[in-house]
Amino acid sequence: MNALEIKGLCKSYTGFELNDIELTLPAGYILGLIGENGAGKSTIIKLIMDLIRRDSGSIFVLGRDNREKFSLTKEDVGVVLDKVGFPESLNAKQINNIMKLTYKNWDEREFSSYIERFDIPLSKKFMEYSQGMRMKLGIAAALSHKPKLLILDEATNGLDPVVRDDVNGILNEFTRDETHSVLISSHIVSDLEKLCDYIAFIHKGRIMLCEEKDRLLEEFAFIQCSKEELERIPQSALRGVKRSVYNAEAVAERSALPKGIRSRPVTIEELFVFMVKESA
Amino acid sequence: MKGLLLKEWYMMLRHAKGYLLVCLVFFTISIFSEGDTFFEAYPLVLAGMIPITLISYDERSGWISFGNILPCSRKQFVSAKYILAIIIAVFMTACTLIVHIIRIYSAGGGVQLGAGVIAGAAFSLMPPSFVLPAVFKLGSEKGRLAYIVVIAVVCACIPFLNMTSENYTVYADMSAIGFIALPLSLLIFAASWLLSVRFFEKREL
Repeated sequence: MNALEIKGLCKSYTGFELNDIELTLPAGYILGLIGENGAGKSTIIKLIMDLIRRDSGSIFVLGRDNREKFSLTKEDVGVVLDKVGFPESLNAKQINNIMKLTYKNWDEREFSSYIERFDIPLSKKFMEYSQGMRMKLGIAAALSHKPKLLILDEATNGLDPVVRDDVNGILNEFTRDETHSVLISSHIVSDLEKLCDYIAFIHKGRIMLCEEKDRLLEEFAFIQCSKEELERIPQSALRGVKRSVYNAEAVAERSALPKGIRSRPVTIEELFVFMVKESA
Repeated sequence: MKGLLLKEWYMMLRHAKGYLLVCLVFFTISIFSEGDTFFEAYPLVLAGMIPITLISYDERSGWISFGNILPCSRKQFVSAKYILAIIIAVFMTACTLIVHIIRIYSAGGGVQLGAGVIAGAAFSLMPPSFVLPAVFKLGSEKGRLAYIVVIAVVCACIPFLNMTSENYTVYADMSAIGFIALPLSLLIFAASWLLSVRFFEKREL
């Protein structure tokens, strides 16, 4: 079963359009949604959670249409939005009490263990938390009701590298269970590169690619060569080129490279940057 | 739904203290003032602001979006605010009743309470009934503006109804007003709830 299946999704605002989005996240995997600010990542997540209305297309979450009895589906979905919206005047203890009455599967012990692990003060008001601490509480709450699908919108932004690494570890632990899946959006590509099984690039409201990460890394290569050498590479194989006075850098399909062109493995960040710049 | 109600309760404990203090001052003044019912009745109007104030806090913290990722429907989200409004109205009506009894006995009078209190309860449901649909459609800032307009219209109507302190007992004796006002206000409250649900289900969060 797919944890998430989006087909032909469209949504338009004045000055922005989300166009024909197709995304599939198989159960048990982590899909990273990479895009610049304003590319449409948060809009997709809001559409998945039915916070905004789609113009057309379909969204299936854990095999169910997100417009039919979505309250039941939400029991199995943990979400951290870019702004963790707990009431400012409440503390972690009160939030635990609210969640206990909200989720059927709320696990108080698990919540307490995350609170301890993240070093979150129990009686401090949410408004007194730092940005990182807010995110940590959001992540703790999203993980404490035994979700099958976790959706994180820029959730690791604002966290220090140590905590980010800790969160990445938690997400890896989470997907050890093959029924658990994660959709994570970010523009910190290095994190997603470590974490994800599938990668989707979004640019100006369109999905540029959605592939298995390992396949992408196998398929593409980074090239640093002279301008003459660049001419020998078929245009159709190039995904992005950066030219300087003396040489050129490019990302291209590995299989189409002529002999003698030196290449090295590409990183997801390079692939994303080159593709976005090429399409600009 | 229980979770949403608990959240409203926590929020009310935290943010409604100021309102309660002002109401207490008004009630105290009304006990020591003669004749004028303004200080006795105004807390009912004031308390109608509490659900709207709490929605303002929700908007500021991002709870409007965040609360809707929880496993509850938009109908439940709206209903929690209406239940809160009813609880506040009942509580404030009870307080007004107590203050009214104190006033009557300290003045040595003996006015019929029934219709007046029922009319008071009915009146206390009016502010949230008129303002909450506007808030759920437009947000709390514009909704607050709508509230001020409603209050201005009500206040403008008072001279036409000739509701001066001298005539108060006349109104209190007219038990029919009270008994018509309550079912009517409950009907308006229910219609307001349905409208708010409809508006909020269409709103983009």
